[in-house]
Amino acid sequence: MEAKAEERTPQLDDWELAGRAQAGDMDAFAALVRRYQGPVTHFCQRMTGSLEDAEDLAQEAFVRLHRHLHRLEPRARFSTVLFGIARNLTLNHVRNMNRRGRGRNEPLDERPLRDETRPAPDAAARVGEIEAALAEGIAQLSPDHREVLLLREVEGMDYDEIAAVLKCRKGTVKSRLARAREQLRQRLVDLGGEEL
Amino acid sequence: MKKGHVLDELSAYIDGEARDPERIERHLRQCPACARRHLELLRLSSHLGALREPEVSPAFLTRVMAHAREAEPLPARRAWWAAAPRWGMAIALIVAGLGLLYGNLPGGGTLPGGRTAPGPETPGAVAGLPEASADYLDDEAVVEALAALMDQGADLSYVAADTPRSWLMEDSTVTYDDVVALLAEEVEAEDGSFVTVMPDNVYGAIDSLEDTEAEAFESLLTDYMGKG
Repeated sequence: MEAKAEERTPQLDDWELAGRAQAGDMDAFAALVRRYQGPVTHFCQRMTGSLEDAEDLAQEAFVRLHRHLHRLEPRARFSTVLFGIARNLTLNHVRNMNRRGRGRNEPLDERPLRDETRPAPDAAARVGEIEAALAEGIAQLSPDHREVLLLREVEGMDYDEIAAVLKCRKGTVKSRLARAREQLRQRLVDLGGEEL
Repeated sequence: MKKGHVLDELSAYIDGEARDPERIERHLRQCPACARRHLELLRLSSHLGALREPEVSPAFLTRVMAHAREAEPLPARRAWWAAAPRWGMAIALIVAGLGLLYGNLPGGGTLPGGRTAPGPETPGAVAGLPEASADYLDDEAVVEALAALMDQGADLSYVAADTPRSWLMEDSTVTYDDVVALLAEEVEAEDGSFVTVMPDNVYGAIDSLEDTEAEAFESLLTDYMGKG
């Protein structure tokens, strides 16, 4: 069934798949899930700091997308609709966690922190260190800055698409992104004691 | 920051969104400090783009599909939200305008078609806000107000990103609830039910209206109220 979705829907774009899913084709919907499960889960993981929470949120985002299918029309880029749902769910989750005192300022659970006992890093270790520092730096950003940075730098959305996801103005995207980058850049410079 | 530096513009510049990229390029050729920052931002962007996606559980797709099959599609009309938003006054104006249009809403007025609006004891009432229910409001005034506002140049697309204006204009069955639904989001209550509320980002979207747009919005609502 779903395992054959990719075979039955090989070259269809997102809205073509969504159209079929609107008509009740669950294989088409499964193809959409396969296409976006990685990026959506990644976004949720970077927002929440927990892969387990991220999978739950991504799952809920897809289920809600399915419930909303009949309301959608192919105007915006499909991913902005899906990420808009995921973003709202994630923000609610982050707020709930903050209210319960479980902040989001810890590094991602599966990412190693810098090991200060290590010898001078070779290239691979240096990449790992940068990735760990990035994860930690992203975690320290406010949710407003974190989400705009992830949508731009990780998901590759342009400013108009990000504005559609965040339901804000393009100018807001521009200013938040500039502040997020500067905070992260400064943090990495501080951590590394050198330029990037 | 020294006069003439472009540090604040580099983020938009690397995204191709700078207002005057030629000026920035000229400056970067002459200013080591800005050139160094530019390089750092490019490297940062490269590092971020290389972050690895997590490995999604093999059972993820199965779980999603099982839940999707179980979940009923949203009805065309949904129960009205029951939260008191920061922009409650604006929403109250909308509802009050509809109430004037249709008689004595809220509070037991008679609606077109002989339908009766529920009284103040109706569940879901919010202190300080008039009630509304998609069950009896079959009105296009708010839709027209939003459309007219867009005619005046207001960009409301960001509060209705997944619903084209044509849908707003042409669908005669659109209700106030549908408009609210554009602005609202569902959140899960502790008992597992879903409640439609106005989220912070929608407040931000409405709050971000330019003064002239906000005035036009209020003017339209006042106008509709006056017609009632």
